[in-house]
Amino acid sequence: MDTARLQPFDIAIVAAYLLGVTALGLWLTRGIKTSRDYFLAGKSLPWWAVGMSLVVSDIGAKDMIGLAADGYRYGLVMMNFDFIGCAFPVLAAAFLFMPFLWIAGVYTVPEYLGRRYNSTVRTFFALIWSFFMMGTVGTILVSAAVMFEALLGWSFWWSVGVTAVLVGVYTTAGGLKAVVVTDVLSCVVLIAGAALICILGFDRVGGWEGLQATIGQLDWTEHHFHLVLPADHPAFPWPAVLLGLGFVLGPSYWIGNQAIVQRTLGAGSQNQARASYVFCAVLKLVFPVLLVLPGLIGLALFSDRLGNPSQWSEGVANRVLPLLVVNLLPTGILGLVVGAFLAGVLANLDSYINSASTLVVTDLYRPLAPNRTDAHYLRVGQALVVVFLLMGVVFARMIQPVFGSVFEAFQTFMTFFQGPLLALLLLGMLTRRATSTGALIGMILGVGTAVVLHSARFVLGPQHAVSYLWVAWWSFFAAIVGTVVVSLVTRPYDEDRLRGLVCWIPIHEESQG
Amino acid sequence: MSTELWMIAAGAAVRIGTGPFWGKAAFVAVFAALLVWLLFLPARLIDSQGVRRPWWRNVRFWAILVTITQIGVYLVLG
Repeated sequence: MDTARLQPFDIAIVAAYLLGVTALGLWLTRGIKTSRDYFLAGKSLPWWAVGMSLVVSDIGAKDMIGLAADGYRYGLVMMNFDFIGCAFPVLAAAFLFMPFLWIAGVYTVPEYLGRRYNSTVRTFFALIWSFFMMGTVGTILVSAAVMFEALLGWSFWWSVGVTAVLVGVYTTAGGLKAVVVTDVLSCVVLIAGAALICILGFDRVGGWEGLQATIGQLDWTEHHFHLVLPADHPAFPWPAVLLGLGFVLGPSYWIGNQAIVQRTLGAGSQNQARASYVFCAVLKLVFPVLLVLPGLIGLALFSDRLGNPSQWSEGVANRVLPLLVVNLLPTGILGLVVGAFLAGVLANLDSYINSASTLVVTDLYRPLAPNRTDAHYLRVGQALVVVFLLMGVVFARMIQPVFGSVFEAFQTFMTFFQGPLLALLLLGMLTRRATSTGALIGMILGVGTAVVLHSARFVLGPQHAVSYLWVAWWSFFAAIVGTVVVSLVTRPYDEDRLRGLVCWIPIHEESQG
Repeated sequence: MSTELWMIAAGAAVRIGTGPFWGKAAFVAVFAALLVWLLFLPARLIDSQGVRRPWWRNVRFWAILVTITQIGVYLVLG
């Protein structure tokens, strides 16, 4: 195994970081008096904190270790997930979509859909997202365990225990504010750690020219230095990347994902929320380099040990990053980098736990148990954080033996809904003509299209498998067509009902600046 | 600009990077469209209070910078 051995100085750095995060999170629990304080940080967050939190909420253990492996396997094309899949939708969200969620004064994305369409649409997406988030907590914990086992040889229960307890302590007590502020610290540590791997790795391979020359000698790396791959590429054909990732999955994630949107709704003002998205786009210019480049450096340095990915057995992909860490980093720096990986895991986990709690309280519990005191909803939200963490730990243990297939199943499950969700959000915000009946039919058509396309591999054979990028695009397209056609033949809403929810209807009074 | 200069410019654009030309053109076009949209975005969508801010505090400036960087990245590495 290529696991790293932490020296006392490394352990001191990791311990200092963990204690610092926990102490900071606990300190921020002061002043939590209402559910608005807890779920939206009292709408007091500064733009730079929200921007940094947005970035690290997007990066989990699976991404850190997986992007290095995919960088090794496919090269620069993986950066598209943060370029066309992030910069483009984030900027569109900042100037076009975020203001509607802000002005509507909602806590969650399903709450907006409920106001724009009806409670059925709201409940449907709240249930889907709750289910996905609970599952995601489990997969984050297993990913972290896989990463720390590969990096440091930690046992499953040690990894899961450390991450769950730390996140549980400050997320339960401090809500969104504790999550976002600790994310800031995590973002700084993550950038520093990942940059160190890149700088030391670059130095070892002889810079960019050395990297290109070494990788260019391998006969299977023809496309490794291209962002745009041929239209017949088996994994990332450019039309599917552009349409599926750039126009559907990216926007759906950055506009429709509760874990993302909730941060911007906690910003101090609409301008601060907009600035946070733009700051996130600025930071996202750097992150793909920090996360994908290690894969290319690993390819240049260890291709003789790791070989051609087409012949990899299970688990080899997880060795790319640990090999770099073990072979590049001196004592002290190793502690910082391990701290960086922990930072990524904590930030990813606390975001999903906090958002799952907000979603369930706002969209599922509150409609079932209305007219309770605000303190009651606050207590339920805090209790749910603990419940989700415990469920995540149990679920993580259950799926650990079959993690690869379960993770893939969860991702596949979400691609069934992301296209239709985005279609409903876009039509809801940009047109006054979309109706609730149209939305329901569009949603059914979109999900149905995704299921049919995904089933092709089981019915017609693996050679007819449809890329998840194409599934996302066509399910989005079907939902758009279904919603538009049915909306045109059903009775439209009154203008007053849509005020503040639709782009083209002016708002006379804006409650927040 | 004369026809010759247009030909030289077009040739240079094609030679930068060696990825599929139409793919690269499509990605660049998306960001170019975003750039045009950002340039002509109404002021009320930039600042809800309608205040003119210095360039370093102007989100339109930073958004345009990100978009131009992305166009450059796809032109060079596409």
